Amino acid sequence: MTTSSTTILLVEDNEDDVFIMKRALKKAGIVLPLQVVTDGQQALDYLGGKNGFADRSQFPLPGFVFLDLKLPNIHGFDVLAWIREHGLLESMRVIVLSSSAETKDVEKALSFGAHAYVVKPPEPTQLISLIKNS
Amino acid sequence: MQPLANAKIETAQESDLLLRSLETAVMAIHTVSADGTILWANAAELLLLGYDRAEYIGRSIVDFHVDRAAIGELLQRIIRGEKIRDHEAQLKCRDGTVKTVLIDSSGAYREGQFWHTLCFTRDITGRKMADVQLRQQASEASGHAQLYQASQTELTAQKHATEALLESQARFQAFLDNSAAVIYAKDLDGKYLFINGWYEKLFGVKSADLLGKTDFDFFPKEQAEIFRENDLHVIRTGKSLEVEEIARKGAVRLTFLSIKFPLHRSDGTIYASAGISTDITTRIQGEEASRRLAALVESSDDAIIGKDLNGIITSWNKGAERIFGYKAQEMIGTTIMRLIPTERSDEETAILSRIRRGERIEHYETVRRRKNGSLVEIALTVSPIKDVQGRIVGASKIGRDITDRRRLENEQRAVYELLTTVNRTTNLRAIFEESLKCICTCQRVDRASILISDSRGILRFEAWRGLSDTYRAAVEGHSPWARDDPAPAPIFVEDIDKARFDDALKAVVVAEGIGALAFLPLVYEKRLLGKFMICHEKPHIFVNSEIRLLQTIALQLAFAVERHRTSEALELLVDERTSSLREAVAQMEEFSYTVSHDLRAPLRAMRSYSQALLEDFAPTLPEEAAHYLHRISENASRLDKMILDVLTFSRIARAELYLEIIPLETFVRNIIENYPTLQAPLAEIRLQPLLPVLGHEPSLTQAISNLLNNAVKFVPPGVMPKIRIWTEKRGPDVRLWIEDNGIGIKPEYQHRLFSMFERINPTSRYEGTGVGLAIVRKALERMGGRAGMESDGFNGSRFWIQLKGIERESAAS
Repeated sequence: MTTSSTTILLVEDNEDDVFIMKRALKKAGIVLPLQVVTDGQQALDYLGGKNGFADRSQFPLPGFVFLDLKLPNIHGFDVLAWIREHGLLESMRVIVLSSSAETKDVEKALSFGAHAYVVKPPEPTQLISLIKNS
Repeated sequence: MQPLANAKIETAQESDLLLRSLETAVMAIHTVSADGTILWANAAELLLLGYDRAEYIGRSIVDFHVDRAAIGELLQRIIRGEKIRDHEAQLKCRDGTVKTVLIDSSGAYREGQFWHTLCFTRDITGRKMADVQLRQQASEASGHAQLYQASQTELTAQKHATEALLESQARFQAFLDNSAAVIYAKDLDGKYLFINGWYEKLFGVKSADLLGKTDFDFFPKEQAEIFRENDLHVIRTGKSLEVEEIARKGAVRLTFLSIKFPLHRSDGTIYASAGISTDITTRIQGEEASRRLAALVESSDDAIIGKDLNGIITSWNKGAERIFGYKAQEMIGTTIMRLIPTERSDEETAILSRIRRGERIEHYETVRRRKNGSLVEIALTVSPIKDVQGRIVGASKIGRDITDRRRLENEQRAVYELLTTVNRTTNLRAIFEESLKCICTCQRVDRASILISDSRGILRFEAWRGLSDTYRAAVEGHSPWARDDPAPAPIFVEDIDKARFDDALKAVVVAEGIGALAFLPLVYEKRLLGKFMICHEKPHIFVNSEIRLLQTIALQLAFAVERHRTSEALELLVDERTSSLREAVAQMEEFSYTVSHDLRAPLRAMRSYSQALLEDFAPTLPEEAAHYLHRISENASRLDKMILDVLTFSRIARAELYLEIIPLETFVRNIIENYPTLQAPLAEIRLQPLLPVLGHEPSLTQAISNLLNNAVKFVPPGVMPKIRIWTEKRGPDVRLWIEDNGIGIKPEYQHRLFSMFERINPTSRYEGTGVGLAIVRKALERMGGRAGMESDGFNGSRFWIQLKGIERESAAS
């Protein structure tokens, strides 16, 4: 269920890709609040409410997580595994963002519990169908 | 001979003397009438057979022959005019014995009518006999001469001298001309007074031409001198002489047994030498052959044994003595069964019954018992022995000792088995066992061992037979060679007692009951790999043939050990290479991952920012700037596509493939449905029924979609792509054809077509990365298939891919 306050968490270390994502959301007309973290550890801290992310009013649990795979420190798959282990897959939709279109990568992401797999760059139409239709 | 009409007293006297000479000649002579009655026989003949004149002359010749029918038939042949030479016959002697003789016979004629036979009989019972005869002859000679002198006187007295002489002369003529011996008389100077017709037959010189000439005129000087010497001996001594003379005339070389004797005048003085020379060349040769044969039999290594049909031994040569250990005198007259082991006693019965049937038994391999009780393996050849009448009377048995041959065969088999094992297996245990077996067989020992050098170069027991733990523990580590000896020599200790080495070690060896030892080094390319040891119970001389065999075994063993080491090293190397290859593959995968993620990010950014600029600042952007931004974006896209294609290529190149049956028709249809560019109205594809193939689905999807996209892409502007797809059976394979109506590819470019980054057409006209066909080719290669194309460069192209078909389909069609 998406509300106007449903937060989107973007886990992405590449600032160009952050720019592309923001622009695509804008073009898609999606105005939900966006939080950006730039590595795997920060993602875990945010989701676990630790290390400066404890304030849920400021850093609410997201309804959508756009997760890049190739991240510094902790890999995207490990973040995905953590989310699954903490039973968070029920309450949030995890969309893997990746440069790779390799079947192997897609299959692996879906098998880890990702709800969707988007090959970069994300297109506004894709985002609309992912967010508005969920 | 002089014609009878001119007969003078002197001639008559001469003939008379010759008659007397014939009477006293050493050769047995007789004449027989047409009805077989013996008319006359000389002293030699009577002596030969032992009869008195009265007991012999006047009786039928048939009574004296063992084979009565044969002599009757012979007589008929002579009457018909045949000359008989060397007719073998058996004559009954007065004392009941039988003599074997050779008869030369021919007819004598008077006034054109058969008168009587003239037979010369040669005893071939032995030349010794002739010698005895000669001596008796010599002592009786004078007596006979007187007797005939008396007879002559009587004839004269009866005044029938002329008739008698004429008859005598005629008889002589016949005797002499029909004699199968050379008969002659020479005067004191050696001039021929007389010679018979046989000479002419042998040497081709007419008797008449010889008269008045000497041997020096006809024979080489050395020979003539010998003849003359013999003649002179007779003249000087007045005694007869038996001598072998060799006469050579041109190519003819004959050996004669010559009886030479003096001719006396009535007053007793010698006026000539006469002789009867019998050609014994053939007989000499026969005797020679027999002697050689006898020597051969005697000196043969094989046992040559004669036995009768009851198995009683009749002859026993040296070879038999050597093989069986019995002397001839122990065996002759006893049964052959003494040699036959009890369990084989039936063999002899079987052999004898086959011999009785006249069969010959060849290479019959069996076992016989020696005098000392040991057994010997022999190969027998047994042939029947026949008597003169052709009846089988016994058997000759040739036995060859094949113990050595058997041993050799066993050795060869053992070596062959070792070679086979070495070639068949790399299992060192099995090779060691086979080697020990081979060594023990070849050396006829039951103790041997194989030691292999360990990593520190110490020789360790690896395999052994019949050696105690104590012994092995005591000798292990002792080596007769230095570790780095490049050419260690075999060591043979033929007698431990006499050998000089470490006392303690020697004590161990002696305690183990070893009498002789051999150490054979196992050497491969000048490296000592190990050794094998042979232990004999008793002192043993190692002969060259044994040593060569042992060295062959050592060579094979060294080869096997080295090969085993090499293969172990090779396995290690393969393991290393495999793991480094795995690492390389892992690195390659990581690299691809990096490429697909990190390399594409900047391109994405370039495209996005260009896009953003175009969108957000469109109103203020000069047209030229907008164009540049488009070009940046397009190039970024192109590079991104190239990266993706290269990734696809590398994925296909290293992906794990499994082949499955692909129903090509639905498969191709699905691909077409995925690409709008392949469908109407953009393209027209005619799909014929397609045969299934064996392929890897993702790789085949990639290959076919690349080909189809190429087919619709390379058409001249404004032309609607038309594509035809069909399959064709090619042996066990199926070829899928994709024919287009595109621009075609000139034959000179076709070879470059399937290479990476090759582009035949300029980028500006036809978009592409130059990787598509490289992917097609790689995909087909990986699936065990092939790819290719045909084009004349104008009228489109026909690309094909070929994969294994499904047999079931071909059977159904």
